[in-house]
Amino acid sequence: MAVAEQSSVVMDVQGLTKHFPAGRSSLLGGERRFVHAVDDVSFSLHRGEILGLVGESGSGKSTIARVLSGLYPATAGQALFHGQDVLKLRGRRRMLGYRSRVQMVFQDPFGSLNPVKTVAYHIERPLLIHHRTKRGSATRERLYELLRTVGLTPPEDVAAKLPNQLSGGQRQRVSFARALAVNPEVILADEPISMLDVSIRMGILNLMGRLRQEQGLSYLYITHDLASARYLCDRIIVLYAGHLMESAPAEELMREPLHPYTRLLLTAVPKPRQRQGRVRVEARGEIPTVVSPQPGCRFANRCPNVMDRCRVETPGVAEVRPRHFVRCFLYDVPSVEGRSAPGTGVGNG
Amino acid sequence: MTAQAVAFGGSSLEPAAASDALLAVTGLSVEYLTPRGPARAVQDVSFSLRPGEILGLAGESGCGKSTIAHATMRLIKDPGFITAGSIRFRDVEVLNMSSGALRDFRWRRVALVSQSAMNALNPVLPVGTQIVDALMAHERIGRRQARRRAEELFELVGIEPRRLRSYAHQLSGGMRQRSIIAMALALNPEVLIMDEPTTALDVVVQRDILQQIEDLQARFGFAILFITHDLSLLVELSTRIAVMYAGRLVEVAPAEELLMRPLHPYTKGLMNSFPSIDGANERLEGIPGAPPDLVSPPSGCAFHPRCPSCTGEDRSLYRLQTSSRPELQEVAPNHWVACHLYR
Amino acid sequence: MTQFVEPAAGADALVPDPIAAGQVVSSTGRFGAIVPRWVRTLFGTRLSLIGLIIFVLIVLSAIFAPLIATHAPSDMNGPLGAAPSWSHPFGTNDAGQDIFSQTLYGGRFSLAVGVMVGLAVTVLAILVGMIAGYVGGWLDDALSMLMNVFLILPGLPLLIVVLAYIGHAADGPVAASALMATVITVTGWAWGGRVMRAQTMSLRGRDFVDAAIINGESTIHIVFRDVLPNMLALIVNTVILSTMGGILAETSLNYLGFGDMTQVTWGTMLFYAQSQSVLFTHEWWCFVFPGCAIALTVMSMILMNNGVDALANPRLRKVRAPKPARMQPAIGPVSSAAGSLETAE
Repeated sequence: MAVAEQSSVVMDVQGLTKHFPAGRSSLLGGERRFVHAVDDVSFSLHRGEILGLVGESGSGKSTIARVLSGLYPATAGQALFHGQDVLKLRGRRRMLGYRSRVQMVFQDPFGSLNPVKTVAYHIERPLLIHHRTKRGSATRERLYELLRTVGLTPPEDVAAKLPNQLSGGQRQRVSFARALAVNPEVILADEPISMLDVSIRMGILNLMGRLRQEQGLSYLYITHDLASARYLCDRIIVLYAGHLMESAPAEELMREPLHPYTRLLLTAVPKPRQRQGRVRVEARGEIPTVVSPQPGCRFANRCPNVMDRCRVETPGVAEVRPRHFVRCFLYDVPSVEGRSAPGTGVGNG
Repeated sequence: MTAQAVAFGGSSLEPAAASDALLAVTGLSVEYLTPRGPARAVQDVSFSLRPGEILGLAGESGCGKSTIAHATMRLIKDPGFITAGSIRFRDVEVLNMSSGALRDFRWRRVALVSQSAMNALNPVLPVGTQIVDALMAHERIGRRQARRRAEELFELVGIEPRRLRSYAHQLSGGMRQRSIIAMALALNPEVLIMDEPTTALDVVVQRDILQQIEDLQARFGFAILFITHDLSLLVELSTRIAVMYAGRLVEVAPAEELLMRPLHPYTKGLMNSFPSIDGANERLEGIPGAPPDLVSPPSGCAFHPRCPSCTGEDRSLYRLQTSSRPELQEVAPNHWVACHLYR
Repeated sequence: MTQFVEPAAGADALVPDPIAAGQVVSSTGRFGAIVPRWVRTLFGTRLSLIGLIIFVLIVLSAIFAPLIATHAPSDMNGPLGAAPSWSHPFGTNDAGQDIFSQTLYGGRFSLAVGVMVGLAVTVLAILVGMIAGYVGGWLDDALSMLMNVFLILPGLPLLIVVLAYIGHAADGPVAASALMATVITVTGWAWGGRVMRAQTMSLRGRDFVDAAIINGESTIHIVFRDVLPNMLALIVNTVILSTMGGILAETSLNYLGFGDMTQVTWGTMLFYAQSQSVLFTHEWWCFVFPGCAIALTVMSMILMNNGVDALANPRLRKVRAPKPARMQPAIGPVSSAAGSLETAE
């Protein structure tokens, strides 16, 4: 990131790594195995910025959100939030403090709300926990205000409803209201629209944009849909099999995708406004689940531009255009094993 | 309009209830019983599918499109009831078929790849066994012959035949979907009904499978009824597209025509719900409001509470929109719309 | 970047209830708002309502036994081994005791044990099972080990052994019933615990639990205020089945002679019937009536348990609505008999 912007960085993630245990290599003893869900991902989130994490299933994007929200401990790396490493927070009070600044919205509009509790309960709980207000008119007022902010009116009626009395879009708005209750600085939005009907999605995306403008929120927008990422985000990061493959401002990524995987994604996205000129996608193979990583690029066996080098050395991340980072030997990047090309060190996302 | 269509007051879509239609649905209505009253999931729907055609059916979740797929295969069970209409395959009434004829009809003439297909694979049997069993149940062939056919089918959909030995959980989502498609094609059906076949898949896998389907369709010439909530998929894939809202068809047109000139405000709203990765990054509005309650839908035109053209400025139009249900009418060659704006 | 200005608040104003799965048809009538919705659902089916009525009648007859019974249960003033008659509706046993009165009073003991067991097992199962299922890790391993140990121990023999040692420590019906209930609970809670644990683990994976954690809720609050209410069906099921199990365990133990034989319970009545060889003397009334009492009680509980399915699965709730008109004859009927064919998969 350019030095001049340093002061407005809200969260600075360096080398985030998360491995999950996956049994042992043989029945009795043997090495312990791990699934490498996320390996060495680095990025910065600025105030008022919407940063998109784009990747298919298995890319690690949801895991990143869950680690940053404190649901999982990280295996390695750090996440500096206002200078403090939140991956190493100890103590309920510190955690609570962090949770009043960084909130999360989930993918499943039904599963993320408690089916036996009213809307009022969902939104009042964070108010009561964090601001220690007693149940009373002040809390009620704030509840109604939040419901109005997310476009659920009349708030008195909505507050008494149970989740199964609301549509999918309304439930997601309740989730946003819940997240906003604590006046957070950052919202981690984990695929907030992918389970909603198509016609309702834009409403939620526009809501997110409006909240960013009105309240100065920053978002981490996690999605598999490049098109919605382009619509909403200032900057997009492309993930594959736990590795950051490319990171660039949104428009530049669309105009000039550098990484072959990004190009593959762009050709695969349905283009609703054209019927002619559909490019055939020829990359077969599936996204690997990385268990015992070998050296080499994780995209190598699906890459149309693969070179011999890609199979034996792992490319590192480097800034090959201004503010445009990529992890690919087609460009001038160092290798993780420390060989050849000079350039910025690994992990300076 | 055929005599039958007239008898039920349903609007026959085209005079193609005539002989060249493979599947002709006329005036179909399906209801589901709920504690609050009957939900009219499908109301007076008519369309036909010609050989080799890809008909896309688009609409939001709960609009009744899956119900149509199940009704076609006679899979509607309590608390669902077909309350009116006819479904004719090659001019034979499906809703009247005897169990023998039905057995011949299902899987052999019309096959269904449904939304939960991926979870329909038996987790304790290898995938190959399931295909072989299905083949042997429907054709008089021995196990070895069935096995060979299963291998052929897997090659056809792009899976290595040795994966026949795998269990469902050992296959990725894309492969599972491909194996379901392989099973559906096993008996060379003439019509394939696909109900949200790629919804749960990643975008690259989705593109792959759609290409596969197109290739297979070009090769074997079956007709496809492709049902999805994602209109953008249909625009690329289909010959014709039908748009459903609140259990009724609101617009039907050739894909190109629908893309260029969407007429119904709902269709326009849907088109306005897809951000694109090229071109200008314009603001999109989607469609305000929420899908209608099928138990007590809005009066008149079911879309009127959400329609940008229902403003009350034109009093007589407003009265029409709120009290009278628009019928499907052909307002341009092969382009049908159910909307008071086009009278 | 585009400017985001949303349309006015009315744009997404509340639309009428979408098809709300699980909303029970309001047929409350008399009770209306006093009775919580889940109770109405539980007893909404005809069978479970019948079960409830029978159970309530049995419980009332036990509570009001002193008012209903014709004699004191241990009175030996009656004719010996007399068949049912007007003065002794259920007859008398070989010691001259009135079976009718004994059945009523005996119900007190058996039902008391049953209810105590039902509640105690459920509470224990909730505490241990939910903590194990939610917290996981080493605590789960330890508690699961504990539950497994109790599961492995054979129930009835263990009960017999324990009672043989301490069965006579209690004095009087209250203490005796409490003692028996305690012993039955301690040996039989583990199964309920495992079920609670499994359900808790399943709910633990739902996003709303993660959302509660991110909100900063304490673990205790999440387990008992957020997750527990979602397990209502399972809890009701456990209460009903444990109570039933308790009644059956008590009667079995007393029938075998391992309890306090000075108490009048359905089980001891059967014990005495057995020891008096009534099968030979054809004094059927000595075991038929207590036996029927047991069977009727258990059956009423099983009927009540039917309602739990409706509580657990909204789709099973009875829909009281007229079936829609079928298709016109011109097309021919949709033969639902044909619906029994194999489905396309």
